[in-house]
Amino acid sequence: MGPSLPGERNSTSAPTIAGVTPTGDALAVAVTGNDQLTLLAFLSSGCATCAGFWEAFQTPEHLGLPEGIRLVVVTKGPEMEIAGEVGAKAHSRLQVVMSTDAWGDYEVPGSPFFVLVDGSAGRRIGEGVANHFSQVAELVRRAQIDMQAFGIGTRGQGGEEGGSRSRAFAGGLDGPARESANDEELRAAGILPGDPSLYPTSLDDVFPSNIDVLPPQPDRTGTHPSTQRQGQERRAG
Amino acid sequence: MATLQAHGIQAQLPSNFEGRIFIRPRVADEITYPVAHFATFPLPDQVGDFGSGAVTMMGPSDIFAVLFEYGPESVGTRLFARPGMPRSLGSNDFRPNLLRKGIGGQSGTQWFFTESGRPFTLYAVLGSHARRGALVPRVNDLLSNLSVSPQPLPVAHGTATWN
Repeated sequence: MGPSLPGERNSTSAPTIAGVTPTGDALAVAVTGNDQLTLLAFLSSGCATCAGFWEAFQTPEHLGLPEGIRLVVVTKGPEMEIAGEVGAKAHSRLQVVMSTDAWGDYEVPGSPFFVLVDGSAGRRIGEGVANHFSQVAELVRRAQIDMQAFGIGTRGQGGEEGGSRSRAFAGGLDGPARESANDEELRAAGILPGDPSLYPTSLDDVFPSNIDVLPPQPDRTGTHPSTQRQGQERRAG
Repeated sequence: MATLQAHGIQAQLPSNFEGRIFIRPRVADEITYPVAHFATFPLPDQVGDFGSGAVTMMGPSDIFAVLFEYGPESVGTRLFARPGMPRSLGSNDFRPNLLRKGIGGQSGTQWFFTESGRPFTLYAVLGSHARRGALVPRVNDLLSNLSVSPQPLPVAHGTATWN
């Protein structure tokens, strides 16, 4: 299943993205404390794989994202990216934040990289890479179905104020506590220790064949080199 | 706290606040000045200077605030005579009839002042006047973390320059 996550990669926190726009205005996007799913697209102006995403974002209405998903593009700050080039690639209605700090906060190993945040749960619920936006949209759609199925992610409807928040996914558990909660849920679903589904033998057992993941391009500027990993999509809890 | 800084305005954003500080593109001979929007809900792409397009999206627990700068010709006029931004508002400062758009249940407050030699108005909206006891302290939390520089600060761009 690829290399295990480094020890420091157990955080699911989702801090506010704050930086500047390509035109020099200031912009801060709060991705928690609301009822939305926010998809953060960490892109670079110069990375070859990113070019397809910049092009796809020219027509946001054709992206195929489920309704109500907020899309925010995050590039590195103006000290590492040429603001004019970023501005030239961005559609006028696309929210673009230039923030090197955000790349560190979200432990981005390289570009392109996508992070899905559940605003109501206040945490990252998925992250990974893809080579076409349709694959990202499919992962977002699945996450949305999960949220609806588990009754989580909606403020005031079993969100922060109670309801179906017993799952590790929704409860913000981490480390051993999350592992124990997951074991409990697996047992409740009839998946006991030794179940073959717990021991995948190939990536195809984990990822459906139509989800073609690529390793992120190594970060040219060396942000968090210790966090680089290959082609993983993490789903919390 | 996330820090937002542009055009001589700086904000340390309290949790769950987002914002933008911008100058609208000029149209014809129009002169535009900095505007700052702060909100506890996702700001849409297109928001009027005083919140049109945004205040209709507010929930009862939400806050929207605007810091709007006027031209230097306003400095010294009676309207902007108040020295400094209000930093601690009271529940009684918010009234439903102070809203620019009379949305049922909401209330607002507006102040004109001069800060660091620059003339501003502050306009803030509560999603629910009935919840002002809980919401006004959050507005004050935002205001206490706002600062204005005497002159707009130059924005650092990563553009290439010839030596």
